[in-house]
Formats: sequence, structure tokens, C-alpha cells
Amino acid sequence: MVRVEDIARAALAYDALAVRSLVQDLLREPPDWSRIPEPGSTDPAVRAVAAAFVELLAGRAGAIAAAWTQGVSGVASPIHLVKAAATMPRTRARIEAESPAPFRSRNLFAPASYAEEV
Amino acid sequence: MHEVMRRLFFASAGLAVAVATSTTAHADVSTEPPPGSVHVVSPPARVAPAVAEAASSRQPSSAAARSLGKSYPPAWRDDVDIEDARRLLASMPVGPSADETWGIVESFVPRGREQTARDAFLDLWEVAHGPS
Repeated sequence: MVRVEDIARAALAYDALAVRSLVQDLLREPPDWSRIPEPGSTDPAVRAVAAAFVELLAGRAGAIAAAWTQGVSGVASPIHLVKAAATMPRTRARIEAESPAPFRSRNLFAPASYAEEV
Repeated sequence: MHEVMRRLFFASAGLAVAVATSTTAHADVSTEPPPGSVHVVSPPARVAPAVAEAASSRQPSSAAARSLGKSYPPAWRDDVDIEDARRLLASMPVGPSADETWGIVESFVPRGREQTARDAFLDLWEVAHGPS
């Protein structure tokens, strides 16, 4: 089974293709979002992104996210999960405005349709 | 990793379509190819719409503009989508200015999304050509 921690690491590495693949694999047999395991990592960024993914995907599925996500705070400095935000200022501003709440509340920024399947 | 495989398939299918449309031969007349000619394979039915549309049109600049217009936010999900849009823009014969090229693309942007689409276009343009 895909670990949400692996999705977080791929996102932080700007490997968008891996994020898509891992999310698709995870959603193929949708997990019980309320019982999805907490990441073993102590890296605050990995934990924040992982918690944001769980809340985002659970929300889209109309499910309740695991309780541990509520205890995961944001990162100290903003992190953009789209590499192009570094060179595309208008796109960056749009992403900052539209980033899904589970990400934005943790100082993480991604497009509104981030990790959505086609 | 099926997303990777899907994209590889789309890329190869798009390439096949591009080869087909860049030659004078057609799949429907290739049953008995003349000696030395290239046999052109018909494109698979399931091809990424933007790739297929851009590659299969006899007016590639128009098809690329249409695909680019349709690809703009909020359709962009990540860097993969942005890179696809960048490639579409690179495949268009560009005008002397961002405004002129935008004029080609704008007519294909869905109504109500013109401003975000123009912002995104200018970002793409400036990455490729410098400040507009």
C-alpha cells in the first residue's frame, strides 16, 4: 500500500509525475481515511505535507481524515509544491490565493486542483 | 506507476500522429506503399486530446493555440500540466510580441477565464522569451 509519507516526499521533491502515480495507486483502493497511518518521519515538512494530503483527499472523498492530522502544524517558511511558482509570478500569486485549505493553513501552496485525477 | 506508462503512451501516440501528419502519406492509402516509402500507422483511438489535436491538425499553429487556450487555469494541476502548456506554446509560430501571440490564443480560452489565462500565458511567455 502506498504510504502518504511517500507522496509527501515526492511532492517536496517536485516530482509531480510520481505524486500523480502514487495518488492514483492510493485511490485505486481507497483507504479508510480516518485510520490512515501517521508518517514515521520526524521531518516537519514531510509531516505537514502528508497531513495536508490526507485532509485534502479525505475531504474530496467526503470522509473524515485521521485525527493525527489535526496535530500536525505548518512549516515555518512557505513551501510551494509547484516548481514553476519560482519563475512564474502571476501563477505563483494565483496558487497562493487558491491553495486548498489543508495546504494553505500549513504554509504550503499548491493549485486548487492539485492531485486531482483527469 | 501507471501514470508514467499512460504519459509514455500518450507521448508515443502523439509522436506517431505527428509523424503521420508531417508526411504526405495517409493511413488509408498505405495498404500498398510504394517501394521505399514509410508505412504510416493509424493513431490509436485513445490519445491525449491536446496532443492529438495539436498533432493531427493540418493547421498546427491553430490547433496548438486552441489546445493552449483550453489548457489554462484552473486546469493546471501541477508542473506536468504547466510543462505541457509550455510545450504547446513552443510548438506555435510566435508573433513578434506577447500581445500578438496572445491574440491568437485568446479566442480559444473559455469565456470567463480570460484574465487568469492571460496571466498564465504571460508567465509562460516570459519564461521562454523574457519580459514582455
